[in-house]
Amino acid sequence: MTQLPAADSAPAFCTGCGQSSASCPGCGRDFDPPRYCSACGRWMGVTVTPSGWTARCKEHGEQHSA
Amino acid sequence: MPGEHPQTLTRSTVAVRSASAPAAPDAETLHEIHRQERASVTGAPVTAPLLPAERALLRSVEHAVLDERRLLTATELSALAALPDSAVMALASLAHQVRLTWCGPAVEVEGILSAKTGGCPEDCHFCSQSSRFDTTVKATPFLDTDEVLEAARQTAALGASEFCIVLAIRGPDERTLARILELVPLVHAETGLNVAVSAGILTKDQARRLAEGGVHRYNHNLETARSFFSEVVTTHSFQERVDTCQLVREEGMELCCGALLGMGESDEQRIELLSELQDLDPTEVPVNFLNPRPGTPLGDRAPVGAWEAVRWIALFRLALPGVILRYAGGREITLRDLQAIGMTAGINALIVGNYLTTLGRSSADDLQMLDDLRMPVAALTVAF
Ligand code: SF4
Ligand SMILES: [Zn+2]
Ligand SMILES: [Zn+2]
Repeated sequence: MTQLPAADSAPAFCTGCGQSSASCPGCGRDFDPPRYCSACGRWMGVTVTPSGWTARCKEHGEQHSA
Repeated sequence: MPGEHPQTLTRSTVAVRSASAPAAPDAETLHEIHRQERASVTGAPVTAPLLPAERALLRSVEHAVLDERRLLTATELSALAALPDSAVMALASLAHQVRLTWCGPAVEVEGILSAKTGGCPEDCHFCSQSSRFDTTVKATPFLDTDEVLEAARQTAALGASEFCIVLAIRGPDERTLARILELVPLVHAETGLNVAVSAGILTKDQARRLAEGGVHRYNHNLETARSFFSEVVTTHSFQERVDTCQLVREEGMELCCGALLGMGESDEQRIELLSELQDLDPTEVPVNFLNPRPGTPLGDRAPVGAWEAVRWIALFRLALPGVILRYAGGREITLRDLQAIGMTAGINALIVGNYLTTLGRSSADDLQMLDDLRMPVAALTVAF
């Protein structure tokens, strides 16, 4: 499993559609959790709970809402 | 002088444009014309006083619901639906009185959890969890018991009294039903929350087992009018939904039966839905507004306008005076800053926190809103 990039670096992939940031500057909507990993563009399984969300990338592991 | 023609200036943009004006308008007049033109872009101004006939209609409806304590007819509801936008706040005010009279000031707070997400074989055209549409929500396995319990604990911490376990399925198979029956008492014992379930179409035996298993309320939405249903769902019929709703009541669970507005249905079809709901007599009606999901057949529809949403919240309350009328999905994108107005237009329950696959606004904002409105949070049950 590789490291996620630092939180303050620009995401490499759009979390709304999984395309590279050069192709899509970000199409995720307000009130949508991320669906694709910002580091590798892979689709992520997402669990939405009343207080947050957890997204799992096969390569980069779990990400959580703030 | 603009002050000499106030009526011309405040009636409509058309009147201003059609007036023969020998002299060039001064700056103040131009400002007023531009103000009206801006208003005409986003919708007619909504502050015009009520006409006598509109006031009379509202008085007769008030008498029917508050004095005679009877349900409004479809004809009466159609007349209310035809009121101009300028009457919406009066409609909301009446709906709020009806809510206070029939249900009291308390608000019921609920959390929901998608315990089995995506991969649903049905084709509800609004739903990102249908396997028939290419959306970013894919089939994921049933959550572990620990994950469900943690979500229930989160819900209890938000001050909720109700927790709904939702499954994206046509209806439960034996294994799924057994899993639900295992979770319900665990959640209740762990958190003290009332546990609701939404698991699609039921048989009579399944409804009985869920009732015996401690399911407090069962959610099964009609979503829309019978005459519009086949436009948005083809894999099951409206009547199948009605049948499950009736089974839920017959087997002794409280029925939660909601609507989804903004799929292209007409006002008449919304009234038709309200009449069906009056017949079904649910305990709770969650009101959802379409949040167009990319990849679904309704993905490109525009959301319902905020003012229209307030009107229909009020109409739902006036049609269903005793129900628990719950704010559900889509309210953030539909009502935006008008969410508090919905609370004084008939809403007396909220889903707080996130929804099934999308996020809600912060629960702290919702709880602050209730505090500011001086509406206490409490568990509710059937009014009368
Ligand atoms: S049955 Fe429920 S989960 Fe399945 S497509 Fe319809 S709304 Fe979505
Ligand atoms: Zn994108
Ligand atoms: Zn990744």
